[in-house]
Amino acid sequence: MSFDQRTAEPRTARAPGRPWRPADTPLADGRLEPAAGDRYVAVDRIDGTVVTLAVAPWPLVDGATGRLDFGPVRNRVTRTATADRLQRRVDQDRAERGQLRRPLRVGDVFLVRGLAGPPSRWAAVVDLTRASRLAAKAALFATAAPAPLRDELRTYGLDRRAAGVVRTTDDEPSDPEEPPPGPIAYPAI
Amino acid sequence: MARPIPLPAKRHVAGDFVAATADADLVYFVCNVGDADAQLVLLPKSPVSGFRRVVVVDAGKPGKLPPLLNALIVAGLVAPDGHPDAVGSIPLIVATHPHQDHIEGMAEVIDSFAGGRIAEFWDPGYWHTIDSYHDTMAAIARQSQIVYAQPTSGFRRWIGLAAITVLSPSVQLRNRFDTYGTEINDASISLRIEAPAIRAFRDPDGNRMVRFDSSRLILGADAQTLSWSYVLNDFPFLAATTTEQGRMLDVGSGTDVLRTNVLKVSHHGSKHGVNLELVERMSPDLTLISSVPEGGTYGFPHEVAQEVIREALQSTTSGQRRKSDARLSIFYTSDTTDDPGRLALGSIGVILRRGVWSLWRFGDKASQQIDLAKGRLWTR
Repeated sequence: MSFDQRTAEPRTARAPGRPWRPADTPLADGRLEPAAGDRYVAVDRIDGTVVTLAVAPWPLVDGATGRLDFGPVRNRVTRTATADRLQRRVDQDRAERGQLRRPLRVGDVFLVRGLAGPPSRWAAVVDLTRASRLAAKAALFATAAPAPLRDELRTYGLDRRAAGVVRTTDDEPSDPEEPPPGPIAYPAI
Repeated sequence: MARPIPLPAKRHVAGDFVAATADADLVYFVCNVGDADAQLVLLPKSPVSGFRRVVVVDAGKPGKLPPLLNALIVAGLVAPDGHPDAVGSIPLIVATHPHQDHIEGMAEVIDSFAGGRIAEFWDPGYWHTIDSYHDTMAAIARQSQIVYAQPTSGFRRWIGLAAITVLSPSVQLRNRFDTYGTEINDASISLRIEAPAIRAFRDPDGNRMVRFDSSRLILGADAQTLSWSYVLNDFPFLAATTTEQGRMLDVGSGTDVLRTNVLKVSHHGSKHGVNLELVERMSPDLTLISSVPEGGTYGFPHEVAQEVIREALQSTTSGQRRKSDARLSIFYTSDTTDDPGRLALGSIGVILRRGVWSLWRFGDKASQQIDLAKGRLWTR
């Protein structure tokens, strides 16, 4: 016997979503446009001088769930890089963008353009760690603790504005009295 | 990295792995997935349903666990689709920590077994930025019934005849995740699985506790020195009280939760994964290491870790000659035979009966599925 822990999310539709443009990054304000071939590169692990990178196509935002969609697994790879070489390449990019120089850490994420060969030959490396960490956290909470359904919020005497915790998106109605049906967790990422 | 010494082919005897399992046995698979981890535990057969239930611990590569699980269903060990006992037949999936080599195939496992088969999912709560982590969270969210939990040390869950105890991470480590103040390997959920666990027999004259000759597994995930230091604190060795007063009150009977029959060595035999005192406390009868033949990218298993394990199993302070890994019952998923072709021995299946193990090999490469019909029994 079991009972529902959450409202089941729909399976990701492969319909074209929008490229992920996280807030407070060059992708959000148009300084950088996602391009075909851009890669989402996450530092998976650091073992001594070896850095393991999880490399995926730049994600789309699934319109149905708000989750990041990295596409088919066959298009993703794991690569390794020498720590000092990757550090130099990242430092170079950070200096050009006025970002804090700091040691590489597990969980760091970069948009990499022209990913081929060693890091020194990559065309561009943009540090998006903060936004990516927030997205990973949102991925967890959207599973473990999705927001209540809209009618449940009403029952609790809350609406989205009163709760003050749910970020709205442009395509949602502005009138909280006439919300669309369905859970509100999905567009909340 | 010290490459495992090839094992005599003649000591691997063809047999019927499925037929070799008895109802109360604990059955454990360490899959050959290269430089990654994928494990499956078959709990003892339910006397009511006649089927076993499955605990999955990590899915480091796609394409390995779903075919194995389907093979176990076809073999009649796990309830088939449509059978009432199929619901909840995977009572627990554990992602020990969100490194790619532990969760790359996790979304595939979850998606492959819908329809209420999966009851519960544990991970340490360490949110990682890699794509597989997002995939895993999305796959759970697609199934409304899956309980999601983040256990820490001391948490205990009973499933049928088995008891599962979480050894790590300590809550002290868990509370540092949000600042990334914990090394991701030290976030690992390590587990102790015991079956049959102590039971209470219902008796109209008063229920009675019964302790069985049980089988014990410790699955070390990728926990490293810091995490194990908390484990050693959280699970101290308690000496038995031998006083008359103690016996009269039936207290202080003493136990060592870390004592085990089978140890799956943490972190593929990384030098940071085990230490001498820890392995001495565990004192495993059988030690298993998931690794690749040439050490892979990271040179696992490290000779330091190998020597620590060997020393714990056979102290050489007396000057005696070191036994071989096989004689110490240390086995690797990267083991090969001593044939000229050096055939891969591949995935490991362990049948544990009252704490006594038998070891089976399936001859699969990391990229191949496990064929239960190809099981060969290691003869000691």
